[in-house]
Amino acid sequence: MMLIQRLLPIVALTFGIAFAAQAADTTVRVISDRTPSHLEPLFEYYRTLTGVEIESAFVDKGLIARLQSRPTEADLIITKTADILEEAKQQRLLRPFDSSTIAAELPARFRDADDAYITLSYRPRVIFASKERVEPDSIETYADLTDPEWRGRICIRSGYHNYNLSLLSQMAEDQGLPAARAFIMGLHANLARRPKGNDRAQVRAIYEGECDLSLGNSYYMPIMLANPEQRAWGKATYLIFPNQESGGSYIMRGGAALTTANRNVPAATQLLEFLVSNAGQEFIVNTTFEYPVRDDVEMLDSLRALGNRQEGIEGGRFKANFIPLDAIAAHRDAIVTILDEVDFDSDR
Amino acid sequence: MSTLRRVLTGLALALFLAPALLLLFRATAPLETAALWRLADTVLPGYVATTVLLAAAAAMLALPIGVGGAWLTTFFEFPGRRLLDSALALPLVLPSYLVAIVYRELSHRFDWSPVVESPPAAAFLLALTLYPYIYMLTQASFRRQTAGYLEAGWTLGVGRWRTTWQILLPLALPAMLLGVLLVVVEVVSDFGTASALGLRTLTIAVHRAWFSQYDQALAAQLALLTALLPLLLVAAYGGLTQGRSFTTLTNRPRSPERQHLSFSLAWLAAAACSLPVLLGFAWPMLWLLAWAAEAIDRFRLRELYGDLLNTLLLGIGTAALTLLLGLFFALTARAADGPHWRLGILSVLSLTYGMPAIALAIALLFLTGWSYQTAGGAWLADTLLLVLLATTLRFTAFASFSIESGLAGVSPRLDDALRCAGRGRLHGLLRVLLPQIRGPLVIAALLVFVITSKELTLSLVLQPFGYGSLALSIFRFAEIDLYPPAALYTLSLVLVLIYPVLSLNRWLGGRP
Repeated sequence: MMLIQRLLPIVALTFGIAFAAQAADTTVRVISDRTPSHLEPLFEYYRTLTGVEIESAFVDKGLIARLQSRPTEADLIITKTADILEEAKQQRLLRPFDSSTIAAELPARFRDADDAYITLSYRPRVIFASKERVEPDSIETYADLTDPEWRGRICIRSGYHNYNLSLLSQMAEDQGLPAARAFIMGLHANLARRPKGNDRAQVRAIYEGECDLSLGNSYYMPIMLANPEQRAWGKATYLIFPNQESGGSYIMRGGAALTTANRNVPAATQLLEFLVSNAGQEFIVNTTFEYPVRDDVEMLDSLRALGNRQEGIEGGRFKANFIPLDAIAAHRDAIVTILDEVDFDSDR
Repeated sequence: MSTLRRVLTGLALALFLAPALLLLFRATAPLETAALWRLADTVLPGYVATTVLLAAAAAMLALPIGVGGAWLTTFFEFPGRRLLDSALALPLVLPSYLVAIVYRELSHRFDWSPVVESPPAAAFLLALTLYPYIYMLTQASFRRQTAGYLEAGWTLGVGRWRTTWQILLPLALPAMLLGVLLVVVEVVSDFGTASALGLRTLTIAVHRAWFSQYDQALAAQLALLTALLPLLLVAAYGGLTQGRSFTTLTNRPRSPERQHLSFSLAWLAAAACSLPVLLGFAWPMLWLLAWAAEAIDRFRLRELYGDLLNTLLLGIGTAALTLLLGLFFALTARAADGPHWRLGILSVLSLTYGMPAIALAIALLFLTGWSYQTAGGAWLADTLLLVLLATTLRFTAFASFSIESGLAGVSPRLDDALRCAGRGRLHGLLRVLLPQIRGPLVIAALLVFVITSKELTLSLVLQPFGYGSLALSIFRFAEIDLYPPAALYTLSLVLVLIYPVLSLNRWLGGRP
């Protein structure tokens, strides 16, 4: 009883504070699966610039479920995986934006055909190769990874991770499902170990000598080089932009879209416009080490150095394959089926 | 049992059942099993095998550690006994997945540190961080078992070992089984450790179906399958304990005299009790401290403050609500005539607790989704209350189980005596019954507070706008490999949790 008596005021306090948090306002609400520290400085800058407050929820998991169950709780979605925006569009959870600024400034390949969402930034899914054990130019395409020469020498994270599902779906769209199936089987046969860990853990495995090649997003190289703990991993490898002679590297896109909420559409559209402006793009590129969607935004020095061992790559500029997101989404189930059949994540 | 109580219990159970019913609906309407059968033909057997083996191995390892620790610290005197008595509960304050990450990182940095990215090693790590459930519940039970049993045994010429095997352990059976149940559920619904160590468990498969395949039906089917294992265990628990008496001889329990051990045995006991504390707490803590030291200059107290407040509010709020609900359920089960209410309550609570947290979170999202258009519903979602509802639904099992195991030790004759005494029922409850089960009550509140403070998935999915908590911050840093700030936030969490855990002994009256 003593305990209950002691707890009662605290419970009352809980509810009191919950009530107090309910102040009505005219802020823009952003829901995102991005890392908070990547967006918060941008939001703060936007507030000082325009006076508009941004209220955010960083839902790293289940963002699509949040959208489905409460379609109008946020005004704007910002995601690191634009694939879910296509999914949201198909479920009619997005409001097409109406902005002459975006239409004028953003190239069509970064806009959805129906203006339901935009690409904010992108990064290629590239090959990390051991400086010691892999000759430059011995690998040029993703398909080269299936060559028997690399048996037992490749590391990769779970095949079911969104990044790999997206990559494989892009391959299915680009080269056909049979080619994607052959790639999955060949890659699986060449794995050095059971798929586990994140993209950086694969590069660490190259550094530790467990494998010689891995697949990962390009930004992990500058991120590793900037981290004292991980610099050695990055330095042990170099980066190869695949498929430069054949369509371009497959990319992962970060994106943004308006929800169907009608609380504050003009303000949300303005924020969307800011995200593709010069200033907005600089914030995004500086924090995420991704590639900007505007040509007039300076590329970071750390990006310019990417691919410097690869013939034909100058200043980090590479050829990207901009496959539409709706085409990618259409192959997802088929890819998962193949992964299950191959038991891709199993022990080697 | 009065009609009012039946109705109230029924309503409360319906609330707890709602998420599972929604899952059942999603899993079966329309009944699409093609994806599930395809999975069953390919990778599902592996997922199920890994999950069952992981849970069984973790429970088998945690049981001797927990029961052994409780037995040694309750019945014997040895060097450092009082310190170890509290310290054995300490691994509870660290999130399991973070301990897994520490050991994983060490295995990469030092050749002598063992590789942990395998199911057996993962089971060992999970046992190291989860055995305190068994330890605390069993110890509370041992302490409540009066010295009377022991002394009666000795008077009859029964040796200490036989008293232990034939009297003490059987009497502590409900507590031990509940501890094992909690360990198994935590392992089965764990995402963080399995993800950090690259294991393929059913909960991982549920996450995959939801977030990689966007296949809600498949995810719901897998979630229900996952909840099956805890349900089976609860049925076993109900069957094993039903109709047997675990009551104590007297209503004034006292701890037994501790026996002094010979020199070598005493040090052996001290070593045995130290080992789990060293491996499950001290060693990972040492590395977390080292990492935190690297990030101390980037430390911002202002940011921490909000996280801390939310963590405390959620932990205390959940502890209070689960205690009330758990008490209500446990008393209802006690007052009921047959075993049906008890088994029904046990099953419903453990179903809600046993389904992967992600399934509960998403079920609650959809259950409350329609109400978002209403002022009240939007308010619920925009405050901490929805997260509080979720943690309460999930963790009431802790409180209810702990209280139930406590009440099992109180003779039903006490209820009759209270009725005869003619005072109000509430008076009897507050003044007589609750003090009898003070230990289990405190353990329940403490366990719920600790586990809620570490809780991740429910907060992640259901968080209101502008929300942050220590557990969320730890996860976000750990996810992008930024271990120094993750360690710093973990230390803050440890600071919040360590006093309640260490003060447990005082509450249980274990000290003179």
